[in-house]
Amino acid sequence: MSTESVSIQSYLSFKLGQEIFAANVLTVNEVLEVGKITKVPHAPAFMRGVTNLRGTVLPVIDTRVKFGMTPVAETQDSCIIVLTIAQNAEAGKHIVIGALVDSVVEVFEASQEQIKPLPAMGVRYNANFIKGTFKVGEDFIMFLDIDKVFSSEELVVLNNSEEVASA
Amino acid sequence: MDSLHEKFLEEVTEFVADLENALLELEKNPENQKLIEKVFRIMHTLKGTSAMFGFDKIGNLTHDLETIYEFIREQKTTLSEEILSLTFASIDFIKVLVETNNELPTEEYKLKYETLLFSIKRKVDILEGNHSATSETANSSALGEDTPEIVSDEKKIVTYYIQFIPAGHLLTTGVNPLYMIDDLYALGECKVFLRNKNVPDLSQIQEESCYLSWDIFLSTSEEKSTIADVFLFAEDACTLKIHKIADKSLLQDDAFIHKMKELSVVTEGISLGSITAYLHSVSKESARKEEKAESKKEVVVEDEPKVSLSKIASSKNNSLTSIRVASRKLDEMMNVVSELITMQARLTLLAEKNNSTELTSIAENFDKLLRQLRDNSLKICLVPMETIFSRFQRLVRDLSKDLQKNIIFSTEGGETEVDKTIIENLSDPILHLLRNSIDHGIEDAETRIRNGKSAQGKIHLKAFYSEGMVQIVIEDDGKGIDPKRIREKAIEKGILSETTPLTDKEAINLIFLPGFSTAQKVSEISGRGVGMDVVRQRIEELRGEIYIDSKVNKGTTMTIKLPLSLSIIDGILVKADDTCFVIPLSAVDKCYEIKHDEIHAGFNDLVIIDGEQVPFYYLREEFAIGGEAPAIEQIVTITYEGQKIALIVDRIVGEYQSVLKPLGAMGISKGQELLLGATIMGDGTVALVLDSGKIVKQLLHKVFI
Repeated sequence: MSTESVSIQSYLSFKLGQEIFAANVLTVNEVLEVGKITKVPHAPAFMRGVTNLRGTVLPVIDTRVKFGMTPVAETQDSCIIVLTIAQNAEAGKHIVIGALVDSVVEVFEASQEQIKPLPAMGVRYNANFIKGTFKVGEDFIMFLDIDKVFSSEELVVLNNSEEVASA
Repeated sequence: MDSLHEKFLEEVTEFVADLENALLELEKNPENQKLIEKVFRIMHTLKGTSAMFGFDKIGNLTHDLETIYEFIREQKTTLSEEILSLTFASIDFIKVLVETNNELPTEEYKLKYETLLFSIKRKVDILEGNHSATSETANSSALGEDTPEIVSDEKKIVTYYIQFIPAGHLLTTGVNPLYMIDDLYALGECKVFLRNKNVPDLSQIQEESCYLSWDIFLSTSEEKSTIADVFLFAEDACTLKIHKIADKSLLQDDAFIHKMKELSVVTEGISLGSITAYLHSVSKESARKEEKAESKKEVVVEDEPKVSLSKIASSKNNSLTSIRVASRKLDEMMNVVSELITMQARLTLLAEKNNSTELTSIAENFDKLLRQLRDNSLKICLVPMETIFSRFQRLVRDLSKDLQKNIIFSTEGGETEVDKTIIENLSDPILHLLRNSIDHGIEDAETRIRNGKSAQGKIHLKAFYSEGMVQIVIEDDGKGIDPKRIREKAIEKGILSETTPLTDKEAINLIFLPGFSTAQKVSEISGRGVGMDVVRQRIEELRGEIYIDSKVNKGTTMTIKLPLSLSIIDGILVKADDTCFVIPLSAVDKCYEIKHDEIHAGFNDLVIIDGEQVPFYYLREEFAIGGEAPAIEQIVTITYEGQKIALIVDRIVGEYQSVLKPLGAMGISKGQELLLGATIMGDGTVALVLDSGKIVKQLLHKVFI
């Protein structure tokens, strides 16, 4: 990505349980309050459902479930981060999805050098999804590869494997 | 590109389609004067407009073609295969030229263009040679053998007789006939006789009607077409006949003028017959009365098969009642209407909450009006199937010639109207199916005769409405599809195991699987197995379905079913727990109530409705919706292809018109094929739209296999 060559970039950090994650703000469209989410039958577990984004239908992914954490009931702090994801890199297609998170922390700036590679051991999450970690103050923040986490291939693959498992 | 230019391109495309249609008809029926008139007229218009927009290459082509068709129109030559082929070739060039903005993309094209232009020109030359010969004989027969030879001067002045009979409503079109006659004066020497016999009594005169007509003699060096151009604006509202009566100026001939004056005051007035008769009598001093009558008859008979301008005008008049709109604008309009429907749902909800009678009545009226608006706008977006049928005519003609197969292609139901978005995406799949029929379906003549069929293959394409859908059926009487071979092929490819039970119909429909082709010979046209699965995919993207039925040696029938509209669906809103679903109304039969206990009482998954056992689909269970089911639930019966099932839901809310929205990224994951999409309700929540057809299919599959 050409944007990575710019040394200082902005990131949006959000919380899932005690962990803090970050996504490049360039992929974030907006942050929504959680409205009514309509469940979609036969959808994979991490698909929370669909919600109304000013007249268009926005699929909402429960990021906790997606990352293998236990789902929790929504709180006042729960937010939907609306993300644009490159669905099909060569065709230049994009899809818009909503990621349900426990809370949004802040937007911060960090330089490329601050991103450290992930320690090889002791990672609970799929390491493919994580580009590296930042240290901001006392906290370690995991920098997500949003395109990978929510890519449609990933959605379909996961979906199929679940069907096989349930069959 | 400016809008005028765009409009021009649009128009040309339409003209080309019309032209192709007319030519294909003409090929079958070369004597049809109406069609020849039509071709001529289109050529004429194309010539004019293309020159105006700088498409000189189109102009060149059409100019000469127009001349050829003028000859045909005047019955000076007949429509030959050669002319038709030239015309078709020209149409192809016009299409290319329109796309490339008057540029020929390659040298090869340039060469081809020149050759084509040359052959058309040659044809015109030949015809013109012929024409002068025939017209001479015609003249001599009409005017007598020894027509006074007047040495024509350099300019070749000829005399035309112009009969100009305006239709009653000419004046209302804003045309002043006198200006036209003035224009004629500018062309040459002119003598005008007024006919006022039709003027009624003063008391009966309608001041806006035109009761006058004119007989005009014009001596000019200009072409006939130049004269016709003078009347261009009145074309729609007059009867115009232009005849060349002499190869010299007759207007200096006092005797002639005198005679015409005389004629114009006597009852019968001036007519072509009387003029020729007079000229005849002048040239042959011993003219007899019978001859006069005879020649008059002759001319009249000759005139009859010609379709007069007024007839064309009347057909043109019809088109004035319609207007052209860019499809983008229609899309925008549909979007706004969709938004309005969503807003209306909010208004209704608000009215319910507020409990104000006034507001409720406003909301209800608004709902009614909006429904009308929606129906009207949907109708506006409908396009008759004809628009794409003509393309197929051409394809079948060309392909069957290439493959040397004799095929009659017929269409039916071209007036069936379908949403334009559907039409746009439909032509490729149908083209593919037709190609398949021509290439694989219809056998060559020998094989056909051996199998006891007529040498000519038949392909029939029809469109009609049925079950709230549009159906398109392609039938051929070719060799059909052999289910045995499909089975073998499927087993060979590992798609099917040898033991899988499969009906013949199911086997045949295997050809829609990707990579499936039984054609032994891969041709340029088809047989690579990339086609049918794409066809099905395209049809399914349009929310349609396709199946094939085939009998070996009898032929193949392909049926495509499509929804009438893509974006707005009338439905019934139901609830299961707190999730809302919309069932498309087109499939809904009736609604019932059922006690929750009765649902699982039976051994099999059947409920009894109206004394009939009906398989049911329990939405709560199938969609794994949590929560407690109410004691009394409601049933909506839906029918699909004659199969009835009961859909059990918690509660029926009511009728609901929904604007279909794609499910976005959700749509791509598997398991959502039972949903057509989603719709946004008045309170901002999302309801899911069920695909009733798929539910029935899935349920019956489970029940019976």
